[in-house]
Amino acid sequence: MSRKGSVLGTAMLASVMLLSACGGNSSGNNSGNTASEGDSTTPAVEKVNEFGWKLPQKTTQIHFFQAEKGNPDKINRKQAAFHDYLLKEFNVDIQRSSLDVDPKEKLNLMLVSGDYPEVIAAMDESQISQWKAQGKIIDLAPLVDKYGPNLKKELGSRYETYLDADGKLWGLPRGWGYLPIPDFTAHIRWDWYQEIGAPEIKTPDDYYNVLKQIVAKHPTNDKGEKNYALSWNSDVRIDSALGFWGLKDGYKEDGDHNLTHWLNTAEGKEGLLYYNRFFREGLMDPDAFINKFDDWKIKFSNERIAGHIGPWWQSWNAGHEIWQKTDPDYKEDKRFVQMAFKAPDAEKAYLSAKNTHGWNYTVITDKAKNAEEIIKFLDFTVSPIGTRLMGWGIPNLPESYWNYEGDGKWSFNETQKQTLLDGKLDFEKTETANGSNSFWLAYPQGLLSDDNKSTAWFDQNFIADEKWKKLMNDNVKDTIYDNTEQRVSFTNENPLTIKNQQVEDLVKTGFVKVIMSQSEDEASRNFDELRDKANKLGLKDLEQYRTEEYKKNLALVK
Amino acid sequence: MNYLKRFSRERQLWLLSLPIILWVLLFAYYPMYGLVIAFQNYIPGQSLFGNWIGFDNFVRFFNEPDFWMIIRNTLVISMLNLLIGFPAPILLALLLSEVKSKVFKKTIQSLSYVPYFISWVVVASILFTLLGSDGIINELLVRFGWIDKPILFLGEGKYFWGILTSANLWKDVGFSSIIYLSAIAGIDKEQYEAGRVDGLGRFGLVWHITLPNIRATIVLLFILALGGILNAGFEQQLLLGSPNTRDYHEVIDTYVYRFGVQLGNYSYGTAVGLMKSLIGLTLVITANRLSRKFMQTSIF
Repeated sequence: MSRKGSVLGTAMLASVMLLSACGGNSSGNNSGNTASEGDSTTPAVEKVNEFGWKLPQKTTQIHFFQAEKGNPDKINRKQAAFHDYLLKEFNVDIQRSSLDVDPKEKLNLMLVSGDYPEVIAAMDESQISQWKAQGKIIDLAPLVDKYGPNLKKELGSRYETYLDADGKLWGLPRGWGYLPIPDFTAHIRWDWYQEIGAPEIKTPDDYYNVLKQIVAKHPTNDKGEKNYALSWNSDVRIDSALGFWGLKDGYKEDGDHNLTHWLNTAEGKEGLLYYNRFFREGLMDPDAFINKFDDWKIKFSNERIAGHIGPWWQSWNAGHEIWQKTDPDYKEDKRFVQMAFKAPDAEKAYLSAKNTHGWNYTVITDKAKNAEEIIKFLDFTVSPIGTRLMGWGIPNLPESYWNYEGDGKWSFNETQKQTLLDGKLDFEKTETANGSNSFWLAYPQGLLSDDNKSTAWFDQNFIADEKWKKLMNDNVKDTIYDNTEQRVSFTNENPLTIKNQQVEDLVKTGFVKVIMSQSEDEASRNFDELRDKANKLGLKDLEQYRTEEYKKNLALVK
Repeated sequence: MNYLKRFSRERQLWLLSLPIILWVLLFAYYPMYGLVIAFQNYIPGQSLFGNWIGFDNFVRFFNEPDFWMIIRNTLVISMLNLLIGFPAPILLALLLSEVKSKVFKKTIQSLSYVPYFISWVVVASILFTLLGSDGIINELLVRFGWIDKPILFLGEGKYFWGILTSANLWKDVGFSSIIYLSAIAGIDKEQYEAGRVDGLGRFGLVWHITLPNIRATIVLLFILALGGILNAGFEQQLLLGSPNTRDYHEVIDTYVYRFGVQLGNYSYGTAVGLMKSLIGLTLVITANRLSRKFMQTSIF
């Protein structure tokens, strides 16, 4: 090669290196959330995409099993487009598998047979302890230290609470963070409520009186079938249904953070006697405890219910979302509205308990060939822009929930937003195209740190824009509370696990018996009998255990 | 030596049976090694031969607070199935065998098999439609003025055993009658002719000819049914039961599923299952001996 050629070649190489370095920095700075900051072995020539993600030279493979029941065909349909997008734009081959069987059994089968994937999502603490004891999952702390700047930044001081006593991290949390949207509420048939003048509802008695008035005005539906003032289905959570009396997830807390189960409180008894009154007076749906959701949905959509206690989406799903399609004269007031009230002596109502610690965990098993690359991608998904991508799916398509211009600039797809606000969004069809939330491995559901208002759930981003959701939120926002530290885990090796199950069984059966008592005296007797039985069975031990765990968790966050 | 000679003489028969013997060994006997976990505190993935705890799991079951409730429910449901569900197909087979019209007989026979092939999920749904507080039965009872307010058939435990026994009967009676119908079809027709010549009426023919001829089949099936006395059902309870009826629907199998499988206590679940099988085996052997002694009929 001539000298001239050598100089030209060197100049070209220097230019390419300079340009690529500039490109990398530019994208990274714009998103502010690039992964692999600590990776010193990365070759100089790397492609960085518009999200600031440095594409790995070799495809990163993350084929994971999600330990949750799911229809494999539906899952595959939903993830296909997003998988292809991530492979093309990120060089990450990510695929989820789930089965239509009890995931606990499948995990045990995997453990016994040794046939399990590199990554498993949705493991609970009990399963983690089982897999850890057998050396099947790896400690993620060193990897997070090296390749997880976003994980550490976003989790903040919370990160320490996931480490075990030896400082090891066995799983990354999924769906963590505080999302202040309601779950559990009281509901009322809005148009009927307006008809009777919408009297103020501040206490359980007000709710009872209003529902009674409504049913007096609407004793039957159009087909002549009896209407009920109050109903729920077998999904009802006893602990939440007692939140109107100031109990937090079924427990009363004193000034020293001691927890007392509702059965051992006056508030618990008052709550049960309240519901019993509905039953005694023929105001409660007699099938309330045997209604499976689908059966209940029929009864509900047949306009036989005036009041409901349960998750907010149930009365949406079984009420106006059906009536909009079936009633040609549908008016928007024909719906249920969520509301809250509290017993006069209660400090406040506690209805929607929020565990910011996350639903469960994602682990990396000992089969992982390149755990570093997996962690790098998971770290990217935890960054605000990464969470948006994983939560809202592919951007810039007509079916997309959002548009992304690069340089960290994004906006919601106004057409989809409006369709959602109009109540006409076909989630299944849309999400098959954009893959929203198909690969939820480590990112939060709480508000994102860069704007403190976006969440990975697309439809929960517009509460203030949507009239009825705003009304719901305004009505019940004070009943949402953070109960992260009240979380408790009953692992297989915990000697109290069986006792807990036995007490739960007893309480579930006894709860029904008290409410379905024929007189107030009988209900009171049944309550006392249930309390004594539960205490004999070990409820006091469970109270003590929960209190100890609660205090331990509180100490951890201080 | 006698055995060898006999084996040699019957070698073609043994050869024919070989696939079945292999099947039984592979799928019925080989998995039994797993029963050892009943005597351990087994954790999936760990060795099958460690952490021995003797009979602790068995003792634990007997000390469970719900032990007597579970045993009572299991035995009552099984006994009801045995007392009502066992003679019903015999009766149906006898009735069908008396029907002269072939078309009618075949139609009834086929219709009676249909429920057997309906899954419990569908049966549960039918029962909810029939017996719910707004179900057809309650509607009729209220309309005729026999009751003021609906009866909570599915919401009160006291009705559970009756509903379950009726559903089991409806589902199984037709299919279970097949074996008796084939036994009846095998009876020599000359016996009936001789009976008629001797002056026997229809009931006489059934009592003196049909029933004695199918006695061996009845005894055989009764002995086998006794072996399953602790199998009181599983899907039925899970689908039809609710917290309201738990005191009446919880049986050994549902208990093993919830406390053994769902809570991950496989050893405990296996111990209770093993105990159940051993009781069943003991009952089969006892019934077989008694039958051999008093009725000169046995299955082995």
